[in-house]
Amino acid sequence: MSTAVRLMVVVPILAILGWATMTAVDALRADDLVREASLEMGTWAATSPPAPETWASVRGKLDAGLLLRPNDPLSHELLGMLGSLRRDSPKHMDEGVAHLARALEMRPVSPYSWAMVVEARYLRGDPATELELPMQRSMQLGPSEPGVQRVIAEYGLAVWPELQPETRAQVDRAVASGMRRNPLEMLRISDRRGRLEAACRHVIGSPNPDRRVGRYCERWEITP
Amino acid sequence: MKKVAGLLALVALVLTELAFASAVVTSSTGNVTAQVGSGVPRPVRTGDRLNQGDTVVTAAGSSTVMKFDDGQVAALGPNSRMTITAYRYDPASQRGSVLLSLISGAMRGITGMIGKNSPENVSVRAATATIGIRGTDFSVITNAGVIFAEVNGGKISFTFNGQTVEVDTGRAILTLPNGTVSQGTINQIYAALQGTDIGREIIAALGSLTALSSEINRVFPGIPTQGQVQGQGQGPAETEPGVGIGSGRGSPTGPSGGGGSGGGGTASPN
Repeated sequence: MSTAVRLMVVVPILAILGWATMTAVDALRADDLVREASLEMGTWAATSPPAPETWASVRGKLDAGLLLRPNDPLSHELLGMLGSLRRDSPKHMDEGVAHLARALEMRPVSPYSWAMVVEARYLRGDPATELELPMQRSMQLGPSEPGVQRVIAEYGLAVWPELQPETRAQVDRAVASGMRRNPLEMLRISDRRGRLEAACRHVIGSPNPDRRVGRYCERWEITP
Repeated sequence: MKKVAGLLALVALVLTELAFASAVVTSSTGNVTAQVGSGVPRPVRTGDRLNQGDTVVTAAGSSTVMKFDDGQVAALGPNSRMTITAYRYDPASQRGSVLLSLISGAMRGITGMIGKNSPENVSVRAATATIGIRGTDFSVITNAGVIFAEVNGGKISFTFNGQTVEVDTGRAILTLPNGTVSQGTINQIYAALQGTDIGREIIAALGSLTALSSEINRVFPGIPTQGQVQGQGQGPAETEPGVGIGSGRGSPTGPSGGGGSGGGGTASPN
């Protein structure tokens, strides 16, 4: 085999190997950036709101990760949640919702993605009509997911008077499922939203060994 | 590994706003909104969380009651605007600090654990006055440069134009845009308010706060309603010596001497 022929075979192989190596390195770097960002964000819920510089640093990591891997739905979801934390900035909140919409395009059957849209749009102050479709989709796709039940109960009960019957049915379903899984959590949400009856009607006829459940619902009287 | 960490963060973040909250809205009637800085106003509904930096706005005919993490209650009447300027609370030590800024309208406040354990750290800014809350139950109204504060339980320190006066239970203080300061029993100040349009608006605003008493009592059981406290001194306005309901320019000089230098007349909040 002549040198020219060898080169014709070897050079493309080397180029492909090089491209594959660079892609793998980019993927690893993107993974690292997103992992760092998500771990940082995971600590926020238990402590206090992020300082502006911390928020910006996490945003920088996610943006950098997205440059290396533009179609990573997790990065878009994290950016979506990051944006919804910025109530002081309509621009960032809009960007957050846009990232969540992008994440939904990539995984439209994720109930959590739909739930995040519900939360981000509620926090942005969107009208209840705009929340109905994501609420319905989220419950249709993940009726047994605890996080989905929480979000749909939380915001569904908040806008209850403004919802259409079919969406109310999904909210009621979320509360009912939540009552079977963790009644105290669902009672606390319903009580805070001033709709204790939504949870307490699922206690009737099914005595709960937890006295705290009974105490919540003692405050709610059945009015047939 | 990345996926697991990411999902954990996401699940935690779904409830992020709950963890960051300072107060919960226990009642929201009519058109109530909140905004942060120049952010777009968002509707405030029962159960929503409010944070430091939020400005709560009530429209005409609207009202809201909010309960802070330390148990403090703040109720806003119609046409009010209040900012949670600073709120910090450590549940372990039950200490912290609260600064609420009432830009306009009517607010009734009942202090919680911060007020009990570190009362020096609870204050309300109302227009140009700063009110240190040294007791439990107070109402503040600011309207067109007029500032009115009454104490239904405990004591407040009222600082205006660089001078501070303490106001005890059953008493009220009124400042006018021209700098006049009047202090007296609640009924005396009410009588002074009756004579002008703005005065009558302030009395109407107090009425709107009284209408929130049942909700406040639900949130904070055991607190007497404003009507009950005010009822202690119902009847014709008293005229006690040393109580200055003055029309002249004055400054607060003490618990019973809030009269202006031209005292003896009737304040005209116009």
